[in-house]
Amino acid sequence: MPWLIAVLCLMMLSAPAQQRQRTARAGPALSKIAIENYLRRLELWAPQVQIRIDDPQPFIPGLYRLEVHLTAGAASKDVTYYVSADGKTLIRGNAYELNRSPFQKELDALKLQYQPSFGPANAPLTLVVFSDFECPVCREEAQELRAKVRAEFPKDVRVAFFDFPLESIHPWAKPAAIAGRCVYHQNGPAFWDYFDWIYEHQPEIKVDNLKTKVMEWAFGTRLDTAQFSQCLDSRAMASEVDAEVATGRKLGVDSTPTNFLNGRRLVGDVPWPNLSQIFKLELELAKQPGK
Amino acid sequence: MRSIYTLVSTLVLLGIAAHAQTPAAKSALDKPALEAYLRHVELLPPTLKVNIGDPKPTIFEGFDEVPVEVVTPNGVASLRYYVSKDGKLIVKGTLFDINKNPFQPELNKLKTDLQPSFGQPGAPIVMVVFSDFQCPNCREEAKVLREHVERQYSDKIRVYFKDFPLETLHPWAKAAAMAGRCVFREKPAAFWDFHDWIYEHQPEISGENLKTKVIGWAETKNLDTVKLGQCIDTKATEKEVEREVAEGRALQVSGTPTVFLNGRPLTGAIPWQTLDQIIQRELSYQQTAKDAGEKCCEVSIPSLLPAKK
Repeated sequence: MPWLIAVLCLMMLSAPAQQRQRTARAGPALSKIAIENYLRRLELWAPQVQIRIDDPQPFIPGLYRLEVHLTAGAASKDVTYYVSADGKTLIRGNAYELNRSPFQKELDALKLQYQPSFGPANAPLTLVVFSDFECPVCREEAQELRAKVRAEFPKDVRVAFFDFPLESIHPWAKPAAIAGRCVYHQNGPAFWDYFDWIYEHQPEIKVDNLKTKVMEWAFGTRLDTAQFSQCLDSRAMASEVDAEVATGRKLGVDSTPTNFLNGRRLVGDVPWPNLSQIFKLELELAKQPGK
Repeated sequence: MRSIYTLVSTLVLLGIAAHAQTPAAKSALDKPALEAYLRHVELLPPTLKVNIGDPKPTIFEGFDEVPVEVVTPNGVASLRYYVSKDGKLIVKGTLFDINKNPFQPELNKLKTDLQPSFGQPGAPIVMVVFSDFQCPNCREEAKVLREHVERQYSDKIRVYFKDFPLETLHPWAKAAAMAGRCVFREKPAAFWDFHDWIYEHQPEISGENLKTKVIGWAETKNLDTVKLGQCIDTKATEKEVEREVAEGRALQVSGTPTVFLNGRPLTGAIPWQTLDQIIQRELSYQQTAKDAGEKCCEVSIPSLLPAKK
């Protein structure tokens, strides 16, 4: 008799649990086609944009996370939405976990150990720059960062670099990025000489004189030019550049320059007076306990 | 993102000094903890006051809505967050009803009765333009509206004009808006002549010569200039202009031009090529959706009998 009671108790315990699981597995009542049509209208995505919507993932009770992947030719972008369990409400926006950095996703994705950087490794602020050597706005930003960061924030700011060549509009941006990786692999600190040189000479460089110019520059440095030239020709670094671009895409980078300050995205060339104020404010906030 | 960014740059430009904050606790339903987190997310200088409201239930079983106000020297910015009932998650975003026009909340707030307009009554697209007569981008946008929209889509679009003078930047914008309303009062059809004329002469107009120029223009249009002068002098239309501005603010308009195309906000002067594409997309949506446009939701059967009101 006691075993029967025990079995009944077990059944009573397990029944609601099973039910709960079933509702969770069922997912929100939504049609991906309806969502796609709704999003196309809301976001005005052009008809040639291909949309792939993942299965909704439980996020918190009553709310599901919806990953949407967009592609148009070579361009791609991922966007996150949230949708209610009844499938009636869509949220466009950001979700933050109170006990983690609001920019945790960015911080996790931005691995800096193989990226060129300047400034102290233990600086409280890290500015990650996604840039394109052929982009004029990037040039302005680059020259400003090089001139001002070390002078005004010598202990507090580290700047790290990621390539994000926009190949469709800048024909020599990717070969220039590859050359940069070649320099970096041969001699880490020399990357910044290359960086300063290429931005300075950006107006004179064209797709057909890039290699000549780059080699001319290399002969004036202590680089092993034979190895360097081979590196350029072999395009051995192309996959590294592609990986950098993929990192950027994963974080929604779609234009240059795009910067991440301790994970916080700052799009476009932020004027120095604003950027230095943001640095100061972040430094104050970084002093807060629990951050 | 853009609005936060603008807010941040504004705040940053004010050169407000920062000082230390209270430590963060563990639940977002704890107001100081939420405030500290939001200050970080939004990069709010500690000198700005943040008012965290009480959580209110929402349609989501797991979420409460928390209204937040940031008091800036330029006014109060209202932000809205959703906080999970366990206090662990904060969502910042906009809610959309999947079964409705995404811009239904905007459509509900836009009031177009008795506003200056051109185009087809009952058109499938309604564009409501918030504009400022002294703003150079509005001048560009006005040209697009008058040269392209009116010519190519006169049977498919109705355009309404709303004043949104940015007084802090444009010293004569509000006076011009009030004068425009005076013209509209006297002779509604003359409003668009005034609109075209004032944008055309924008570079020559100043706070000092505005009234003289307006009266001079009115004479060429055979308007009653005595009545118009009185209307301008007594600021008879000030309330109307202020009402438009308040309506714009309620719709989150923060710059000009802002156009609501069937409720969808479009900010800045949009090049005609882009606007044309947006119009074509909207026209094709409206063929099936029929959830916007003028009197979208009334179905009336044509009848020779007088309409019952």
